[in-house]
Amino acid sequence: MAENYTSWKSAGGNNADHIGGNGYEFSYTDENGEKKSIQVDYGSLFSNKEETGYDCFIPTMPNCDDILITHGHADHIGGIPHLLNMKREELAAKRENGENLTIHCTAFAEKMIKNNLTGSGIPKDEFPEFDIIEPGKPFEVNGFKVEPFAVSHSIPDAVGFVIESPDGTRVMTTGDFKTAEVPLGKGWDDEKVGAIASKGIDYLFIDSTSSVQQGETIGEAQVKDGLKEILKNSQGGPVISGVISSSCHRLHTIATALAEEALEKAEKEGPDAEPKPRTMILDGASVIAARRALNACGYKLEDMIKEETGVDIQIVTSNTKKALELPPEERFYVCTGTQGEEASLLKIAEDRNKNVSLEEMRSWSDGDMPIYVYDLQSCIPGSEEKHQALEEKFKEQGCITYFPSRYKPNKYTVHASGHAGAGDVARICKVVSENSPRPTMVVPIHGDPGQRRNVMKIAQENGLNACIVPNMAEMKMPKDGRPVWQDGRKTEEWIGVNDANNDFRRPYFRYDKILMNVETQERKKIGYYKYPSASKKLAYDHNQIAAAKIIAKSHLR
Amino acid sequence: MALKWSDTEDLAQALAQLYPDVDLSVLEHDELREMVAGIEGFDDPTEPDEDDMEAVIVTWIDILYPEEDEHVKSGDID
Ligand SMILES: [Zn+2]
Repeated sequence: MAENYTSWKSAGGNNADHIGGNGYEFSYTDENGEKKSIQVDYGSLFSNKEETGYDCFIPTMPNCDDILITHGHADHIGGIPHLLNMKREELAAKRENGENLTIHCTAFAEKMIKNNLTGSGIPKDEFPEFDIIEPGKPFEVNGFKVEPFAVSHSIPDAVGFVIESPDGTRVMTTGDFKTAEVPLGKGWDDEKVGAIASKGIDYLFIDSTSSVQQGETIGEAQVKDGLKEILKNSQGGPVISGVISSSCHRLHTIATALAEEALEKAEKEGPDAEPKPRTMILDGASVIAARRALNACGYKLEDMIKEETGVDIQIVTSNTKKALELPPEERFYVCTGTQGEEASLLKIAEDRNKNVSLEEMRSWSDGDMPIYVYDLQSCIPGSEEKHQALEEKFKEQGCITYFPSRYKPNKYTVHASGHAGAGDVARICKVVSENSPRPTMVVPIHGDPGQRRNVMKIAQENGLNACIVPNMAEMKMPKDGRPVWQDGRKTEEWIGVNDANNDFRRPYFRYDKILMNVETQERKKIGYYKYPSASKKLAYDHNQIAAAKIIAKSHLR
Repeated sequence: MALKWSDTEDLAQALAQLYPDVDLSVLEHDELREMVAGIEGFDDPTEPDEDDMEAVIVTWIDILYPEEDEHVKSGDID
């Protein structure tokens, strides 16, 4: 009879130099060699299509029908629609027998996943089952006991998990996290994490992404101060801002900054002056969908801001009469497309945004009204050209622009990362080390080798053991705390996702089996996944958006 | 053939033309139901569930605001 053991594997090879495409398999193999697994996250890895020919990469398919989701970011959920496509026949047969793929996630992540499924053309009758989980409420799945705990991140309702295997091995995995306070929902709580750790943690998997940044990652409070500075310096004209829509706490931060700035202004004007905050005007599909998801989960921004500041804030979408009837100097636009993608900001700069027009704003004055454009996001590597071109276009239109640099200190603090700095990593190590009655082995993940080494160092400084698991290796996790793994592999297996229509409105996905060499970044296609189309024929005439498609394609090239 | 709740894109397309200035960030399901009932050619006695209605609204948002996915790598930004 063989030995029983608990094991862990990074499905897509997230342990290599790239971050994204998260997918982790936790398994238990019994004495008879029978293996049971659960998967944590199934996300997409960003790809520059011009370079790779692929829209994104996703990890190899999970070996189980239960996926635990830490939060609703694309690099943790983006593989799900593709999984449903590739497993269409298998899942249809399962549904006939009353079974289905089950996604265990918080309510906010559920909204993000469903939006993603709809946007990817998955019909509702092919949706997976959703099991809505809450921090502090344990559940059991496939023989594993799971307890979610709240963490702070740039999206609400992010969780980590403690997973107890049938042999009693207890593993904590943080997901993306930081410890700063978050405005929406529950966030990191030393006491709660300590309580869960006091039941024993054998292995601790830590997000390493920002571990080389000193101290703890800043919170939204500092971003709010930066935004208030911006508002003070942007008088007499409209403000157009660009945001990352998945950073949903930011909508609350912007609304609070508008309210507080108006309140401070009114106080200066005299005791009878009423605060008159600018109206938040949303422009862009993802930011509008994000607000719907917030409302559906009880995060009603107007009510929250009223309670927190006493000020009435108005939030409308850009296509409403209300938005267009507002004097421009009372408008604060919240737009998508911070990197110069085919989205709200670029369309404004190129005079082809149906709802936001620089000319319309100027027509309210003699033409000398200042228009302020703030990209609340610095440029990400790979988008330099588009980001710079976007700013240039606004400048050519006579706008006053502020596009922060990624590499130099900036005038305003307009963004907070969602990932743990060295201080946050030290904090979780300390909490676990002080509370866990068992020795804990830290396994740094979700980072490049330098970032992971830094987590290892911090863990050791805080009295914990730590190990770096080689790329793609499966790690056996015996309870004696002496893990074993095979040699790492230089070659990772991924699924290359290619929208053959090259049309984000009407995608037709092809899935290739790809081998990726982590040292040379060389990719080799070794096969593909065939799948039948969704049962529902989508039949409406797309003449109306044909023009938008052509423009979009020309920008993609 | 009459339009049904499952004809997500057709319904969204019709609504986008009929109601171009609705605030979709706050549209309630009751309002949506009334709007859909008023679409010419719609005839579906079945009661839609939340997913049916959200799918129509999300598709409607995409029609009003066609945009590329954000060029965002985790860690770089989020
Ligand atoms: Zn994230």
